[in-house]
Amino acid sequence: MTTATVPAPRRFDLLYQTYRVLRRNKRALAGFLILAGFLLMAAIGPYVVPLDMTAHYEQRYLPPSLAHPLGTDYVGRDTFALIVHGSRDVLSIAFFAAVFTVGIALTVGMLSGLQGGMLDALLMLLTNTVLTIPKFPVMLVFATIFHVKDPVSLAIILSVWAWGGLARAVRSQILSLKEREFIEAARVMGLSLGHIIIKELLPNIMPYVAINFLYIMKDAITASVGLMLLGVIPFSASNWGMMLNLAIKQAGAIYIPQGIYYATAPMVAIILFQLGALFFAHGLDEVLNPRLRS
Amino acid sequence: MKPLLHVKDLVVEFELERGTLRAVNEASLVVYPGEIFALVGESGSGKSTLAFALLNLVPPPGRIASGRVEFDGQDVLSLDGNALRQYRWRNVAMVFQAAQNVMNPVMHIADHFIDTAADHGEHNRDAVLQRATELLQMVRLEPKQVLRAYPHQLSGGMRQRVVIALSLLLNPRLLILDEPTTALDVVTQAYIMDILNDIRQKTGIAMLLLTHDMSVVAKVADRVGVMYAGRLVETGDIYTIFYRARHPYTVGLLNAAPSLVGDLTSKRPIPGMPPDLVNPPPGCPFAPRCSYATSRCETENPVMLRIEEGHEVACHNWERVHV
Amino acid sequence: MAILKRLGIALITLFFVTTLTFFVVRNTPGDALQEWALEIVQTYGISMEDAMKQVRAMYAYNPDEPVVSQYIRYVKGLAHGDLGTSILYKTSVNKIVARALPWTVFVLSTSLLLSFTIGSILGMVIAWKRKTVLDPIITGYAALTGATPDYITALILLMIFAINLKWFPTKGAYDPSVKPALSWDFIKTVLHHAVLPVAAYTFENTASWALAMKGSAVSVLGEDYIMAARARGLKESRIMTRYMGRNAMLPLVTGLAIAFGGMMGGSVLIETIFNYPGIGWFFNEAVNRRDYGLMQGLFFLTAAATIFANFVADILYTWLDPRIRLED
Repeated sequence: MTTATVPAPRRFDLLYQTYRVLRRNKRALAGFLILAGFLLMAAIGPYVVPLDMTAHYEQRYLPPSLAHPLGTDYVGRDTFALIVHGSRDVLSIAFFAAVFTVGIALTVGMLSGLQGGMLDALLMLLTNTVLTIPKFPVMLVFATIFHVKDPVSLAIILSVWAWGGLARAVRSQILSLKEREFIEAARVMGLSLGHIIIKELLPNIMPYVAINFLYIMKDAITASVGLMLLGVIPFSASNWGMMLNLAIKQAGAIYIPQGIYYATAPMVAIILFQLGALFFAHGLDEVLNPRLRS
Repeated sequence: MKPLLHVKDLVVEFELERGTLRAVNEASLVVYPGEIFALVGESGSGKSTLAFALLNLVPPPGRIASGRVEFDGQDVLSLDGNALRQYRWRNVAMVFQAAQNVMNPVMHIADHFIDTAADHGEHNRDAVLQRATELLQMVRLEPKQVLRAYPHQLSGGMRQRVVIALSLLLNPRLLILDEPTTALDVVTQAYIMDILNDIRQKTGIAMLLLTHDMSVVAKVADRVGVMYAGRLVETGDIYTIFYRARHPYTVGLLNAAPSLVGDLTSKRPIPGMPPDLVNPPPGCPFAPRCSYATSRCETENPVMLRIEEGHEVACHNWERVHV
Repeated sequence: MAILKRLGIALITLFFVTTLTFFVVRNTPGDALQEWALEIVQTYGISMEDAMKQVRAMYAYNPDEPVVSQYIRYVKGLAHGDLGTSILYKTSVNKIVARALPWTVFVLSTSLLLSFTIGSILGMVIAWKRKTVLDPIITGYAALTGATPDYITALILLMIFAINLKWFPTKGAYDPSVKPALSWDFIKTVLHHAVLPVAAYTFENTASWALAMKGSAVSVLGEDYIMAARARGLKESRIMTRYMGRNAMLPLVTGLAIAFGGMMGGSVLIETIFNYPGIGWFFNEAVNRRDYGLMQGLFFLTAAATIFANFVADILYTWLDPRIRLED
């Protein structure tokens, strides 16, 4: 077995490129800071900001003040503390959902791309189905039938119909990489399929997958909050989606003028997080696809 | 004879990130009615840019920095809006390179003729289609089939002929042809050149033919202009140029063209590369590649000198230069 | 012919979805049915056994019947256009669809038309005039709407315009005091009730259409035939519409089908928020009240609709682009 190395395409140092993008692109930097802020909030927030779950009816729907920066909810609990404590659930759900989605997408995409033939045709039919049928009704149905008790099971439901786009993209990348010389060379050298996948193919599609991870997280939050909004998933009252659900219920916050702070707080939190994810992901996208740099 | 087209000291620049690129550098030339003037030069010499300037069609980030373009005595560059639109195609039409797809993929060929006529004031469809039929016959195409077709249904050679027919729709007096035969096979090339000759006989139209192919020049041109790095370096009638060229670049071009019957080893390419048009070296642009170059050539840019009737050269050492 | 091939794929996909739906819903974990029975016990005070019998009967679910024949019955029913029975409303799903579908279609098509048209025009203008103040505005607006889920847009509209300003109603497709007829009064109230849902969809989607059109138009503008059209002295208006517009719109056509699918999916939330009695609203009811018959029927309808929309978009594209038409 020869010790000569096969010249693979220039390996992508994702972290270094990310750093360069952040330095140049102000919006990407803003996005990154927003995301980092939420991450911090989810990680250590609950330790720093105490959440008093006892009901103080006389303090319901208070306007923002020093004691309650975002006011209070329908039973007098601090809205800001609710947001902070809810962020952990929201982000972990999104994270797990993205992990599962990417896992499925990579598996399907690579199997399809590498194997070809009948398996490819079948998997692509499946992928097309998943892409065509709108995923929210599907997730609703699944959520109703399979009881959701914890973030992980919710994440599974969120991922089951979300992998289509990424799978198709992975497949086409694999198809184009497959024809390249360094793969041929690796095959000729007798390197095992596992080696080819891990050392040669994956590093080339990882940057693309990383960017999509963010987009998938963003979609997962949108979907999970939507599900909670409809009251299909029983979750703790501090989850942002749940807060919205409680806000739109009868005599909920949106119908009460003072309730506006409670109603809009989770909305702003969601929009802010999504913006952060979008800006940062766009910035990374520019690195991957230099033609976007105008 | 009064010139049909008179270009005076035209300068066209492109604003790039790394600097200002001067694609056309004080170029001057004259085209007389009814003649075929070949503008010769390699890619990047500025021929196409100059041609676009004649229609005031230089695409951004390019702009015409200075100079005059006179058509039949009229100042073209000062026209704008509707006047410019009417001037285009009525007086001067352009046939683009064969490789470019210059027709709208979602429109029939017939519609291209109808559109052009309509926007120039002719709304009688039947009259337009009648004329289109005549023109398509002149370029030896079958009118009924072609008019009904979409661009992608025609071969490259057929498309090029359609484009030629389209260019004649409004009876222009000058036809600019940008590399009309490049990207076509040799047989089609000859065919197209034949057609162009035919057109010239029948209509007396003047043509400005842009090419790098000396054999094409030899077959059809009346007069020749040689362009290098955005400048005109030599002009003259066809025999003068071919037998009595006095610019080293012209001579180089003549020597570099392979002859179908000659010895291939006698072909001698011109060594070196064209200069960077953003940071041109001072002096004559051809100096770095020129075998006749002297120290004066590197510092002083030569001006066009009339060395005999109808023959101009921009070279300090023209007396020493021979074919 | 390629059309047949595409139709075949569409049908196979539909069949696949049918089977999936059947098995997913039929294999409802027992405890879902049990929960339901429990509800009935609590409401009507009958025994658990009787409640379970009722549940199974209403659900047309006979555990003793072999799965295969259940499946065949189901598929045969679908082939005859029978979408099933709603336990909640005690009527056939078809009847509910007849009531609800027109509203959903009305709102969705109006929104799609509006957002596509406005977005396309904006996108073309931005592409045509190379440097305009409109560009960063639209891009910023796109970022904002991209980050905001459609239901939040809907909630904000509801809060501002329906609850606070009281300009628009908070529920229904028309004022119940007006009799449905082809009268101006009826049309007025229908439009009045449709404004907010349509606005929610349109605000949410216009920007992405604009950006899509901008991208397409910019690449078309770089093509040789645009320059050649100018050289021929054609009017700018003609170049913008017949040369740039028609070509730029082509790639967006398939996007229409995808958008339609996405909007159908989003209709569950939007219609629930606005209490608008379309398919989405009923789907939400079915989900919340565990009406599996209705859920299944409406889901099948949604799936079939989106598969069909994709099929139509495919055909439309091949019909519009002469280059592709002949490749088959």
